[in-house]
Amino acid sequence: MSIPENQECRFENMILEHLPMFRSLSRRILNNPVEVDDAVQSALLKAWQRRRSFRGEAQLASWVARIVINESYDLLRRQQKEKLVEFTDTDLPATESTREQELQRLDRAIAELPELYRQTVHIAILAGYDTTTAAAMLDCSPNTLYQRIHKAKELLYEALQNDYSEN
Amino acid sequence: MTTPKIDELLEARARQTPPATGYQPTQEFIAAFRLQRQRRYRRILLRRYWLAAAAAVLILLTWLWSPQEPAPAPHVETSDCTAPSERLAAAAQAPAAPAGASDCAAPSGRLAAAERYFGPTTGLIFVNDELLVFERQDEDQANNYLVTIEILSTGGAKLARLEFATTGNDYIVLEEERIAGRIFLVRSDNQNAVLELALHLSNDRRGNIHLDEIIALEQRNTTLAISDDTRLRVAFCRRES
Repeated sequence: MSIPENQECRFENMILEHLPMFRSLSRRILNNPVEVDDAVQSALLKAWQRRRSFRGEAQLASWVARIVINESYDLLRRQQKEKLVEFTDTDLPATESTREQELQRLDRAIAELPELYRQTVHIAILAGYDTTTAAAMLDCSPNTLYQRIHKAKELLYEALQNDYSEN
Repeated sequence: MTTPKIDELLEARARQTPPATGYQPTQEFIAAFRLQRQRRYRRILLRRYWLAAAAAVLILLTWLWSPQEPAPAPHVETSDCTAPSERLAAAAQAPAAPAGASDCAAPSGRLAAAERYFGPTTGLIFVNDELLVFERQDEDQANNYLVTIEILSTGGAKLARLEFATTGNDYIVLEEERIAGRIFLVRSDNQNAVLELALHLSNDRRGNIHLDEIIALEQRNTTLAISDDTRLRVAFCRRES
């Protein structure tokens, strides 16, 4: 097997092994499974294009996971821009429960976080990975991860406070 | 809204496990990935052929119109990070920013020269006087920001200087003998960014210096005391043109 074929094979094995994890991360951002697959495909293509910058297989999957989160948000933003013509995203249906409205506000606040903290929230909090795994996925030490989680929560708190005061 | 409330909401969101159904079968997904990869590869190949052809035509035209003057080196886009060492040396010889010029609205002469040589798709960073290349995170966006990171002694002596142009989102890994580690830059909006530095410096006189900082860049120049005798100065600004 030639080196490029070997690389392709390893990359595809990585996809096979981690596809459920990639889909699960994206599904927390996008509701439609077709869109989830689109976002994951797009992330995988980007990762394949830039694969030279990564050496370890474990690092590669973590890196792809971070790209999946970014791609999912990109897709979500594109959709929201299209929908903005029809209605603004602050118009929540009156029938929705308070808790559901709070969670939607939280989703919007997470989407507005800087990339670094958004990835931290998704991987370390929402996806439920343990500290060691999440730190490895985010390519930082557990101590740095704790700092990022703390900062992310601070930013979310500020964003939600602003959101409540505006509405 | 209180912090415990944030925790409660995050927990509630985390408990909502996304359904694992409705996806394309795995083998079909892999086949679709292969197809898209091939299509993209063909597009890139075609673009490179066109660029090479355009460069050849440009050289020919320049040579025909001004035979007495040497033709300028054409710029051919490449996604390969490794570049000829002569280019690195030539770009590194261009003048650096004057000492203390931490206001970075215009790139230093040597960075501008290196950008002209390597084109917009290659990430370039000067580590002291050495030019290194890195893989850009947003290849399709312009490097609208300039970043200068200086590590100084309290007396003002420069221990290290890093200088690069960026879209505002970049992840740079340094593996040099005298400086190693990571620079992670994330833009939060048009003016502000978050810079994460995990760097290890080996200095002849000062020994080893370790930096592990997360800095919110909310103004053009930020200066931080790292220890009793070391300071960090970061200039982050939108470039003039």
